Amino acid sequence: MAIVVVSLFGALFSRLWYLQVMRSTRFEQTASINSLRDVQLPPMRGRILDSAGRILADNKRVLVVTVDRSAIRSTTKRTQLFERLAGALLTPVPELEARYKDAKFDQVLPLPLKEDVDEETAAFVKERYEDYPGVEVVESWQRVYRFAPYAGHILGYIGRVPADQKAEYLKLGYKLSDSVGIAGIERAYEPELRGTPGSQRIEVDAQNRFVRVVSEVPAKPGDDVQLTIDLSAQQLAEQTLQKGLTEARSRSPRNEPDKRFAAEAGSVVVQDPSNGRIVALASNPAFDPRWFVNPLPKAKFDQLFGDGRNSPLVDRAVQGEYAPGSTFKLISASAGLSSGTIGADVKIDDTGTYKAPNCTGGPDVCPTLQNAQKVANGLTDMRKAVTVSSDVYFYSLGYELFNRPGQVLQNEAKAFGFGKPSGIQLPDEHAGRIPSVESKKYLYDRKVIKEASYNPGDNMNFAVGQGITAVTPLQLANAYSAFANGGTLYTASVVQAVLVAGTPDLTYGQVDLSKATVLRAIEIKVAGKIDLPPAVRQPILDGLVGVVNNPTGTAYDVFKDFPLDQLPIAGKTGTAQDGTKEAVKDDSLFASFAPYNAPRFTVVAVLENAGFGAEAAAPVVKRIYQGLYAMLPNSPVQQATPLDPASVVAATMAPLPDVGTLLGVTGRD
Amino acid sequence: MATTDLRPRRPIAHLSRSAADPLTHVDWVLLGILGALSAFGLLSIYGARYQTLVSQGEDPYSFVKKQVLALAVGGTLMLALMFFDYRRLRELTWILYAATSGALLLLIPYSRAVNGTSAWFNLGPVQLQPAEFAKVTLIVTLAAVAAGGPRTSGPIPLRRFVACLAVLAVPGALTLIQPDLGTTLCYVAITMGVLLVGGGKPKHIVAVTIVGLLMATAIVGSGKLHGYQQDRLISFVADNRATTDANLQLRNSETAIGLGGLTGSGFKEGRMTNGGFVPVAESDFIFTTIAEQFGFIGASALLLLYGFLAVRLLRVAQMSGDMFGSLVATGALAYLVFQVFENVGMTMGIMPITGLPLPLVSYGGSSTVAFLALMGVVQNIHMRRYV
Repeated sequence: MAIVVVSLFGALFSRLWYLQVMRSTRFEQTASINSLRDVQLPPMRGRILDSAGRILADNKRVLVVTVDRSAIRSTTKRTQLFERLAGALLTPVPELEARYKDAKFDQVLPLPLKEDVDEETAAFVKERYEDYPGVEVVESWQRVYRFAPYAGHILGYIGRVPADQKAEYLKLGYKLSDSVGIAGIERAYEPELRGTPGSQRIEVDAQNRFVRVVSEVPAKPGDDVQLTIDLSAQQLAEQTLQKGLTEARSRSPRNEPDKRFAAEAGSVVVQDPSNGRIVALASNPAFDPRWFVNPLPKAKFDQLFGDGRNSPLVDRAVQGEYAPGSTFKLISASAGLSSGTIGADVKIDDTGTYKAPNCTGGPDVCPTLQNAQKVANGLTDMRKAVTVSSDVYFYSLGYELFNRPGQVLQNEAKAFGFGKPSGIQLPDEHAGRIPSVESKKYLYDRKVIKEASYNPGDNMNFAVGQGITAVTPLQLANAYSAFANGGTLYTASVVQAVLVAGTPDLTYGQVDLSKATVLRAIEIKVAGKIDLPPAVRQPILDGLVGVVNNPTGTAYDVFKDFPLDQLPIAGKTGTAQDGTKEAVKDDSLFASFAPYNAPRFTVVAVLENAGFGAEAAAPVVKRIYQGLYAMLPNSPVQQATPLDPASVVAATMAPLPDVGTLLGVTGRD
Repeated sequence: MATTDLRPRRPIAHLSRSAADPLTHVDWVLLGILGALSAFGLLSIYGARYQTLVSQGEDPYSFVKKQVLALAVGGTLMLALMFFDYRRLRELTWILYAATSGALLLLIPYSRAVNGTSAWFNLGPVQLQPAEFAKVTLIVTLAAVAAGGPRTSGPIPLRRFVACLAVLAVPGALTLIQPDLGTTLCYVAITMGVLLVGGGKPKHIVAVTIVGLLMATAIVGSGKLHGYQQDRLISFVADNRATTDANLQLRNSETAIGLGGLTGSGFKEGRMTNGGFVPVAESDFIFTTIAEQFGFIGASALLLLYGFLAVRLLRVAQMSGDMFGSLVATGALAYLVFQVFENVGMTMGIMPITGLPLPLVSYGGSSTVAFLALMGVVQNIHMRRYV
């Protein structure tokens, strides 16, 4: 028995010695003989559709040139290979080298050298595998934004897994080289859009040539996301905003002819007030989501977003925080009437200047405040105060509300949805700020303001939407929608449904929604109710209608030629002052809904550094209504032409059909 | 100048405990070897699966944790069996033998129910592989039959020789139709070991060997073997370059072992074993993992540990107080040597590929628990050699 055991162990030892020590070097060379390789099969990303089924974000099959990492581990081999490949791939050697060193690419899987190569390049590389050891051409998917640059901020863009989210994505089974949604719906609906990767195990020979497929699990495509956005309205909103900003740049503030408005940014919200769904959401400057389809070289990134100022990546409609100015008077008026602080018919003598009575303290606590341009409006009731935008009336109301217990104005602002994100599906929505004891202390602790206590002056400024009041254009639209529909504050929504992958096309670039299977419909959510009895709502509505309808209204001149009998509009201008109180730094706002008796649309426009509300924002809103109701021609919705890969500006938008300038009027707040 | 210890020696009877007390005769060396093998196994299982588990975002310790659990269960069973006189085990032999054979029989309808062939029962999170436990009961039962009564001596008569073959036949046949050729061969090796040491007559042994070989040739020739079994045998016998799965497995395994060289490619750094080129690198092909990652030095260390274990089992067989104990230890030795030789041999291309695990080192609950239980019985025999 012992002899048997010894001889068996002896056999094992000698074989082991033979394999590992005597023959070891031979094995080094033949190590890759017919080995198995696992290849990931990328899933097709879910598409993003507009409300009519137009495919805003689509996919196409592309060819990607990759190289096996073992073939380029040695520096000399790599340099030689890259030098030979640079010409074929039209990519400079340093760029290839940079990819090799980029830790974002998986260190085990083959390194992608160039995405979206044409058939000829692919054939050229494949036919010369002896010259290009380890180089392969694989099929992959690439994002196509058919209607770019429109809706860029809503769609967002894709990119490699961000460094700070590495751990979370790895946990979900992502590879660092995978593309994931970075912004917009691409990010918010990443789990739905991603799909499930498949895998293929293939056998390759020593020359890395494909021998056979050993096993395959097919990839499962991601689900489609249908937006509430109507691309034709979206295009109209973006074009009009662009035009409004461009025109504003050629204008000067009143009495300051040597200055020009900067008007470098703005946003527009078009919402359905009956359910809170967003019809169009524009932010300018815009970006082109196609910039990010392939990894963006750092040089180009710096060129695009170098100083971070006025970044086109910021979605100002949900991330921009502005003082709402007089557009906020809707909320102040509602607070005053609902709380019984003031009656609708009570008249206040507007002398153009207001100093709070019985207020003790210095000018910081009890400031003396004036109307814009110091105009005196005389005896003013609620309707007139809204129509002519009397600051004095609302300063007085703000002071009265300050003296009442229970933070009436703050609570009314909260009820209208201010001070917290509205809950729209877009990522990184901002909350805005309601002036209060807490928010002043918060700013004071961070050394933003020098005075910590909440004074009568703060509430007076709050009542006219100035001071430290901050709202997003979306919040403003939500509040006006809530007022328009009689008091229901809806959670704004930009997504209508998630659809099962594979809805067939109706025409090129549009799916047939009648054949779609809804995986998950996004329900309409009510965020809150505001009690608006007729005694409260009617006088305010009268005031808002007067803004455009009454010769004393701040936007009357803008809407003079507008068929208000066909489309009755209610709206409010706003002019938000910068801390410097320079006229050239005024933000121009207009908030509106129409038809006011049976509202279909809420339209809000905010143009930064563009002057009075009636000067820049109101004409933009008016032009959008004219487009929505086809009173003026719209440019047709067309698919984009291919983007120059080196471009650093968003593809130009189709211009609005030329029907003259968006005439604004100056001098009216 | 030599000094003499003048203190009177205390007679054995005066010791606080009897010199024959089993507790004073625990084979600590045997325990030490088992511990070392278990630790080697845990380290290798971790190294084998680390890369794949991490890349799939799973817990890199998930296999190790399960193996630790199996070791704990097996270790407890081993300790329990140590304190239970092995001669009393003899009375229970047939019950245990019937239980494992019954489990193997039940596996046939169970396999059909789960749609195909299965070598184990799925009991929630645990997989129970009856063939592993049948190895232990086969050893004990064979030893009982071959050893005969307390007063028997001399060579095994034909009647008991045939009885031994019958004991082999039941689990052998049930395992063969699973089909698990490797385990069946392991049963045969155990039986041969017990019969050789237990006093089988040479003419009987030669006769049964010839019959066995003829039957094996007939089975292979008849083409009744499953395709993959044929593949494995053919790739073993004829080293052609056909890209059968078995051939590829074998060549990848040899390549991996070759890449290990003298000192190995490093823990968790096996190009082949961590690259997914070697199948079941944590269980059947764990030797490949060890040889690639720890090199000739590490693989030799493991083989030496098995060598020490074999020597220890041989020692127990020689020292045992009775024939039954001696034959149980012999059976355990045959089991160990056959499995180590077959498993290690297959990874290096000197034996055909089968699904036999490397005892205590391969990942696998049933094998670990059953082997530790068997070691408990062997330890028991060692401890009670004077009583």
